[in-house]
Amino acid sequence: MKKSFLFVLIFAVIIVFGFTAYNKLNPVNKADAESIKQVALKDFKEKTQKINNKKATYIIEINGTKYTNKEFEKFKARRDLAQIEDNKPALSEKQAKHEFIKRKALLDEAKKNKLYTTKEEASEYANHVREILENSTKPSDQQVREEIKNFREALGLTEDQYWNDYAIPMYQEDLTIVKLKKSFFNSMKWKHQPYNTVLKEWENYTEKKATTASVKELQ
Amino acid sequence: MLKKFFPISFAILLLLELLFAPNISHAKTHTNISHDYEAYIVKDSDWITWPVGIDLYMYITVRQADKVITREELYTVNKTGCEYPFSFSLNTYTIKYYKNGAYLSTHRPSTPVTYITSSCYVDDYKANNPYSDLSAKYTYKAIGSSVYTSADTIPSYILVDTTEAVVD
Repeated sequence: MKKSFLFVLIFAVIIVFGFTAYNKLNPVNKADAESIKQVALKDFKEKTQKINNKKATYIIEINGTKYTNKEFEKFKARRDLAQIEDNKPALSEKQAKHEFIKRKALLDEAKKNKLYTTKEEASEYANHVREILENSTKPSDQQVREEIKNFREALGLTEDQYWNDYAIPMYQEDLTIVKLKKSFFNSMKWKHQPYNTVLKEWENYTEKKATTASVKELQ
Repeated sequence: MLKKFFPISFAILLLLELLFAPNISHAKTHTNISHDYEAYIVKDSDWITWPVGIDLYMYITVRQADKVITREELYTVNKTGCEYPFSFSLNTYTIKYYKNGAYLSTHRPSTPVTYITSSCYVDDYKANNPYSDLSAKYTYKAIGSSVYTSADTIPSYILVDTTEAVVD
């Protein structure tokens, strides 16, 4: 009787210990990740609705261009969604502003170097990506399609609105920064260096552009 | 004398050639090369998608006489690595061997080989001088695969589709 009781006790301890250790080692299981994603999307949807109802006022001037509270808050909301979905804390106001300044400063630098991407180029690229995504049968692409669907629904956009109104200006900005990045990587200094080495230099360069930008808080 | 000796030596050489030629040709190094291109969609924190093309090359060198693998190489490359607003890396991973359609074993080329072509190339070249568990009697299928990872995208890692070669 005593022996069997001891056996059951040891077995129970092993099960409890194993379960605790598993949860410690795997803090986010699939069900948790799914629920985190749902919470993040709900939070993003609420933030977007609030931002849309706000009156636009200029809050910051970067290299002579003024940006509104709505532009900055939408930027922060998108970054926060990615952070929260990855189970990371949302960016602080200061961090988000730094990232916003960096992006705008890089756009200015690209324009200064005549590396701007036109709306037509961005539209062509967006159509090309949409076509690949719609025709693909790969499981990884299906996952991306699902992510995009959740994101555009949280923004309250139809598929056409997402690709035409949201994606084209985003591609225009990103492709402009990409042109600057490509020119940096292909410069004589870095052309024959390994990708990872040049990537670090590029990150230093983007940081420098953010810290040396002319910034005026307007409120 | 020379006239008499010439036909005899020619006949001896011909006999030797007929006897040993198959073995000489079996001792040649045999290489299978395969190449694959895959397009992937990834997403950065601006919530737009980017197609990423990845080339995957696999080289398996087999000593044909006894079918011993003398070298395995996997080379994964994205030639437009600097043309994305996010960073990523490619990690060459595994070669799986199949005999008559059934899984046999997995080899992992792990020795890095330096191969810088351009700063825009995100590439990874790994080689191995592996053990061999093949038998000269059979033909095998080898499937190489690689994993792409990025902290800035969803999905954060993708298994690059396979490239195939026949080990014969």
